[in-house]
Amino acid sequence: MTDPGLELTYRVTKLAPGYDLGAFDCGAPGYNEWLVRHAASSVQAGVSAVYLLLEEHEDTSRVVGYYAISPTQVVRDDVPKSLSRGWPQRVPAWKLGKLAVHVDLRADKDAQWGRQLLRDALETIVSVADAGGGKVIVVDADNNGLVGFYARNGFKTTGTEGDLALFMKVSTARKALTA
Amino acid sequence: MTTSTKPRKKTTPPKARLEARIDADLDDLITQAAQKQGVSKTAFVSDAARDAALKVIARAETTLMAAEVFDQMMASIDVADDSPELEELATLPRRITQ
Repeated sequence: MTDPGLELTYRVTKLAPGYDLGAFDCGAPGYNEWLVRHAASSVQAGVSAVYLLLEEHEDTSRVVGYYAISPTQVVRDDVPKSLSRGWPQRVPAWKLGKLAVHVDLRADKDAQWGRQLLRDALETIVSVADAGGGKVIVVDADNNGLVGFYARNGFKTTGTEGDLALFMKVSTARKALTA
Repeated sequence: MTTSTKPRKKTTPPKARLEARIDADLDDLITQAAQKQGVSKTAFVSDAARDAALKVIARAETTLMAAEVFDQMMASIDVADDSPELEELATLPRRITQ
């Protein structure tokens, strides 16, 4: 548990060797395990970029959050092509695959660390989309609670039955977050 | 870079066994490559297979969108929507140093 009397600073950095990932605990074993077992190999394989939220005090730091982004495509659900209106059936996108905050930070309701990290992730995606393309941001909410979280932060349903994916246009994120 | 003083938790993933019949030539090639990297053949093959599998899965992963939602989105793909939720997010006092 974080000592409330400490002067702490927070910054986001790309995953690199040397960080103690095993100490990270967001309360969801699947997210903890992904960070420890798969994040580095996913980065090494060029599949995704992983960003760590670091909590720093003097010369020590610890991992208190992370998110992963990867290029993907949004595909129009299957309908007769005669009904489509001439634009491509798929569009390049960025997927916010994981976003997790340490249980210690989640206890700090005032700071809203989930939203703090989500804003950083969206700003990162807007930046990479400006440099390398991509028109849409998608998230896969693992459960209905997360659907509510993303919906409260501007994401919309993809309209696909039984699917917990949500989306936001990059143009919308760019306008709101870089104005 | 600094790291936490907290002890690292050791997590040992469960092991599985994979057997494959391959040509002797390929076996020689793998043996040479593993030796050049200074790793065991098992480590070499499993690293290569992991990278290949992750790439295939990533390429295969797409997000399906209902046709009417897709069409509406594409009609104004480069035009920002009004998003009170995002505008509120943008005003959140910043705790992460830029």
